[in-house]
Amino acid sequence: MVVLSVIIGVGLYGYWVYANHVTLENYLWPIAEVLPWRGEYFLAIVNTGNEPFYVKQIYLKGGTVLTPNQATNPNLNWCSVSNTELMHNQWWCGEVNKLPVAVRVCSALDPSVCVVAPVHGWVTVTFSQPTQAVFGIANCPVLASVSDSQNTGWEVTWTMAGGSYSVSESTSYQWCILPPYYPITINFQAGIIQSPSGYRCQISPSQAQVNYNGTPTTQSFAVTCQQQQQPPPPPPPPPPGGGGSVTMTLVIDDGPGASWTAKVDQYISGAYWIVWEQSGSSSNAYSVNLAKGYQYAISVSVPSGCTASGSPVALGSLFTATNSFTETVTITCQPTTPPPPPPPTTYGCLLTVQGQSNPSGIASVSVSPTSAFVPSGQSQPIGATAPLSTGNGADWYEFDHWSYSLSGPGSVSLVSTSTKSGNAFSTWQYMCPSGLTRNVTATLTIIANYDHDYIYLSGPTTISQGTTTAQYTLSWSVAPGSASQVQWLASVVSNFAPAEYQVSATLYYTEYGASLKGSSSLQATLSCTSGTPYLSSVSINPPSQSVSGSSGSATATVTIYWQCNVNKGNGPY
Amino acid sequence: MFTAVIMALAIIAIIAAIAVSWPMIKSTFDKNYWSGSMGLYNLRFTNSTYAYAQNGVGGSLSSNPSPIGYCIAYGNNSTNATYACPLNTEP
Repeated sequence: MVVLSVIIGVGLYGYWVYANHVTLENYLWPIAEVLPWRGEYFLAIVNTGNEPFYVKQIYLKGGTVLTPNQATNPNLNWCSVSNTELMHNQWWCGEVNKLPVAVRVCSALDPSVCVVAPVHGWVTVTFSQPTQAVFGIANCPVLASVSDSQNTGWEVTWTMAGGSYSVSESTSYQWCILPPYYPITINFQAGIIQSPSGYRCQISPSQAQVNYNGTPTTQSFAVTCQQQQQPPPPPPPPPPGGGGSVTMTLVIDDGPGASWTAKVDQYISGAYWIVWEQSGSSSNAYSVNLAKGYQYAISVSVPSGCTASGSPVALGSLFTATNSFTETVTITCQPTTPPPPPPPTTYGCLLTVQGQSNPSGIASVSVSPTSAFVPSGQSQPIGATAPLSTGNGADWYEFDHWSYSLSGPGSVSLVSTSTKSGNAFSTWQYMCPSGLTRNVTATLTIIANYDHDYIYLSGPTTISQGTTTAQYTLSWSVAPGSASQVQWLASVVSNFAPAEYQVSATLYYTEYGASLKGSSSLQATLSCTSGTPYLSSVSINPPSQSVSGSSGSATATVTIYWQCNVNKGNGPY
Repeated sequence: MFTAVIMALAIIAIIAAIAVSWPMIKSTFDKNYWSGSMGLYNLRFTNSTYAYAQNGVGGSLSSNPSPIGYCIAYGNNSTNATYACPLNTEP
């Protein structure tokens, strides 16, 4: 009996050890991924589970086994080659010179429990419409647009993820909003800043809510204007028995010394028209002439915390001017509350923002603000502007996309991008980490990345005797645009003394939705070993070519019809 | 008497085995669920510079590899992006 109990006990213990081992093994959740990068392989491992583990071995194609510290440190701020013990959502990364196929990780609690995880490979995606892709109009997550045919000043503000952003223009405009995650709710508010003279405008909807769940959404606003009512017609003849004017003595009793604005409106045909207006911040008395027999209303605006009352005529109510009288407006204010105590000392991020172009120095990138103090746990919106194109002549630079570099704590996200009037705009959000116990400094560099574009024509510029054809090559790079056609032209510049012709090539391409063209030309001179060159004509083949892509080259052949004339003359007499 | 003891030991052994097995069984289900969710984990590109991961986390691409959710990605230029996700098969 005892022996049986011992056997069962030992068996249960062994099973318990095995079950613990398997359980721990089942909760090791590593994900390993590889990308080709800088001529090597970039390997990254993340702990997607809650059981800590450490990276023990890396298996490479061909059978080589590395320890993690044998990998090269890629010097990225979000992962480290030296930190091999990973907690939840922590990354290890390193560069290896051969393709990694699997990694072995072991539990940090029990190093004897290990799992081998396969390495996930990479995919390269190509965006066929670079212009639209860069600015995200075609695939924009949340596309906001305002239709404003009257060039009214408007402003749209939106809040998402605790941040508040705004766009203010005085024309039709659209921009792309990039939510940092989804599902997310974006609340819009729209308003008119300034209406054109003589118009009363409104924007609708004035409020909107977009629930972005990954499906591209458009939020449209429209500005509508109405011409304001014409000035009031001349007053009708006074009522029978009336005529003339009466005087209202308006006494402002401003004991507290609050600022006030008093108005007297005449009421005609359902509309109010201002006949008198005065502002002040102290007690005073005024005489206001009123047309006898007409209706008027008195209104006084005062700051919040103060109230105004009129006697004998209540403010805002209509009265008929029949006799001269004295109206007293009394302004009272509540006792001012003491200023709130200063807020407790808060720590945060001393953020410096700078703009930069890539390649550096080719364009001026302006940012706003250039510096800010961001309290811990809060965010700071930032705007950046860069020219779409810079440089001229045979080679120049075209804006391609935005990127950033952050030195110091915090995180940065791109909120929106747009283009207008030859400039690219972007808005960003810098988030200062929460829980700071001291002030820290961070430097954010917003980078406008440019493509180097050029249109070059190459070929012979001197044609020697006996040569009747010459090849010319047009090379171009117009990224992020896309070329569509090359047109060639050859023409005689001068038939003789000197005999010259010109070859020009025109490249047609589309960029930022616009059809553009660029030209380049070369001039060639004919030369004879004996005699004088005489150029009859030139022709070029093909006269035009269909091309595609943002860069490439095209070749055309020029046929030259010419001869070398030898002046034999009669010799000296 | 002997039979009763044997029966008691057998019942104790079965109950103990079930108690010991339960965390292991649960961990097996959890691992299967995790494997299934990772098998669908992919990136969706808004454009060549911005992408969302399976759980809705978004991020910008730069020229250096950076994580977006449980994927890593970088942008080659304005028209290309390279990424690796748990959905992808072995290289």
